[in-house]
Amino acid sequence: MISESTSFVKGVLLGGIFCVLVTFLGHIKTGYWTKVHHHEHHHIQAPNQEDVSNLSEVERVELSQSIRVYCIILVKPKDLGHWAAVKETWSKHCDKAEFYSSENVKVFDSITLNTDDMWAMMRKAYKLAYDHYKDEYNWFFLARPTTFAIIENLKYFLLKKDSSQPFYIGHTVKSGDLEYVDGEGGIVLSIESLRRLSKVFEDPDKCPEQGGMIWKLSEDKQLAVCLKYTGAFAENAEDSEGKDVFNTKSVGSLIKEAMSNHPQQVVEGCCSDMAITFNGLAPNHMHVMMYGVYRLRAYGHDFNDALVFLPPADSDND
Amino acid sequence: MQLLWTALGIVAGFTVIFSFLPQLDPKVLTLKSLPVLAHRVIHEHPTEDNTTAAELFSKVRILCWVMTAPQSLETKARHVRATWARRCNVVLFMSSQADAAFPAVGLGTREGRDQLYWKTIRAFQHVHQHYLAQADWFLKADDDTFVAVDNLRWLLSAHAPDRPIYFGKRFRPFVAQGYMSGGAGYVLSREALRRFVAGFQTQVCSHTSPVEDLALGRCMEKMGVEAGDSRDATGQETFHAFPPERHLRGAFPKDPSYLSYSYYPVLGGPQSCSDLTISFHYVSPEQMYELEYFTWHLRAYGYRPRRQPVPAGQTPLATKDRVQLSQPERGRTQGSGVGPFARGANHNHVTYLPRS
Repeated sequence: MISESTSFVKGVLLGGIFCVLVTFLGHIKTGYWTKVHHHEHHHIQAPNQEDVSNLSEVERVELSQSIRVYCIILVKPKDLGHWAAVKETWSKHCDKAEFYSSENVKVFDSITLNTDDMWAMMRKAYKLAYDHYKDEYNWFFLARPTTFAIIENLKYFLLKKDSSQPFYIGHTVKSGDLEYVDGEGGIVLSIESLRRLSKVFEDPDKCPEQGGMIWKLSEDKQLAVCLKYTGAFAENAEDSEGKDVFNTKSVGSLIKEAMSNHPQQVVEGCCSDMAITFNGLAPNHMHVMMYGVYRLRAYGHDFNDALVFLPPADSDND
Repeated sequence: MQLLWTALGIVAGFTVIFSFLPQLDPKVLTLKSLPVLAHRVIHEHPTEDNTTAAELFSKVRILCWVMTAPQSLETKARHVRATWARRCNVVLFMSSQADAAFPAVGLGTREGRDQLYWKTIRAFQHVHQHYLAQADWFLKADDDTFVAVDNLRWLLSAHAPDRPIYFGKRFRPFVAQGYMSGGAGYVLSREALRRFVAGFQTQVCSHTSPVEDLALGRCMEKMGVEAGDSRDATGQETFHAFPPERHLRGAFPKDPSYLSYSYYPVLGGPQSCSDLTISFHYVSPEQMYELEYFTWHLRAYGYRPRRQPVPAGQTPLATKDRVQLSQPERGRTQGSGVGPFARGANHNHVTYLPRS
């Protein structure tokens, strides 16, 4: 009896140790501790602080300047109020921002596309942007006038990503077989994706100008279809806690949802600290966001950031 | 036979440990519900250094009391409790009736607009009686006031708590030295609190009117408590009587009633709000969380702010310099380009240093 219980106890110990070892090794192998997801959606994450904390000041400035973002905002005359707000707020933080309009508007400068079909506008804008700026910018961000973007957070997100790879990033949605970036949250393309896109525009079978055969696909889905042919796939952008950084809703809407869904942890559960976009903002809300993002802060909280961004000239609301 | 027992043991051991391992899972730990009032310095970004904020927390101790009512505890006060109230050294919710669960202090008054000054008097008496040694400054706020407590510490760090002074959004009419808006929140030094309570004991002060902020302002003046200037070094206001959109986008510079109430010249647009704003009023529950998110969470990575504040503990501009900066003429608006800190003088970094 005693020898049997001794064996049993030895077995229990062996089994326990074996289990711990297997789990531990298994976690390391699958990258568990870095929270990489292996399932159908492609997820892409912001860099960790460890990746960037060993840089000198000079290296930080150089690094900050090496990420050059060109912003395309597609507008129509009915968007005048939002257009003005975007011009006066976040777009000042792009390396260059241009407004591509369906038709000429006297009040503001824009690049006139002479069409109000969204897919046609998108095609033309991307083509023009590539032709003119392919040697000057390595990332291309496309937004609606109802979107607010924090370009510094976009640059931080893109920090370790090689723009000569075909990146196509934003808030992704799955529609049947197609995974696409929702235009409402903003669309980011690397220069390589834009290059491939320009080429596939010339192929009317793969990337027709008229959208779908039977019913029209929305322009953001069309874009995904064309890019897929070139080998560029949509990836959903998340912070180190798995929260989306491209948002198709406003802060207010997300807070309201959080107040219903997890009332004990509204802010902690709602939105990323490194959010890049919000959408559905009224023009006055954009000005409040500008103040909230670039000015309002709590005294005594300092940050040791790897990148350095200075306020733009000729501006006072940031 | 022994082998069989060993094998059984291995299976048992493996299963037991396997079922316990998920509890060590860090993912499970992060989403646990956190006790609300116990939090002090909350939520840290990976690159965040809270040393200065933590030092100020112990050096500039603030007791916050929030004016609320039984019917507003769950609709309004709850959201204050979940957000900025956690950052006070002590926080008390003051209601006509006690509520042990919330918790709320019962002041023994009735409810209603006409009771506001009674509630205020009783609240300060309660605080004076039980908490005088626990704080240096005593803030009153409404349950629809948002307060950036860290910024309040910054403002107060340059003033001694044994000085008879109080700060808030300063209004001009009715009281010679002005008085502070009740809704925008106001904060008394320990000495100011002593004098307020003493005023009622000696009957120098009494319940003169239900208009809480005006009546308190009159008592302060009688008791020799100075109405302080809470603007930052560039003349931008820190306490606000309305929500941010109204100040940043509103037509205030042209609104004659607001102009006549405001002690200092009204600045419009971006100049209406300091970077280190302390309060907003008429804030909805949803906006309370939004402002918490903007103040302590969302930021632009790597961005060096355009305006660097005077470091904590240093006196902002001397009064005579402030007068030069902006002339407080009644009924006149103030453009944003006056004085040595005019916008346009320096595009990028503007550091405002105190003149000694």
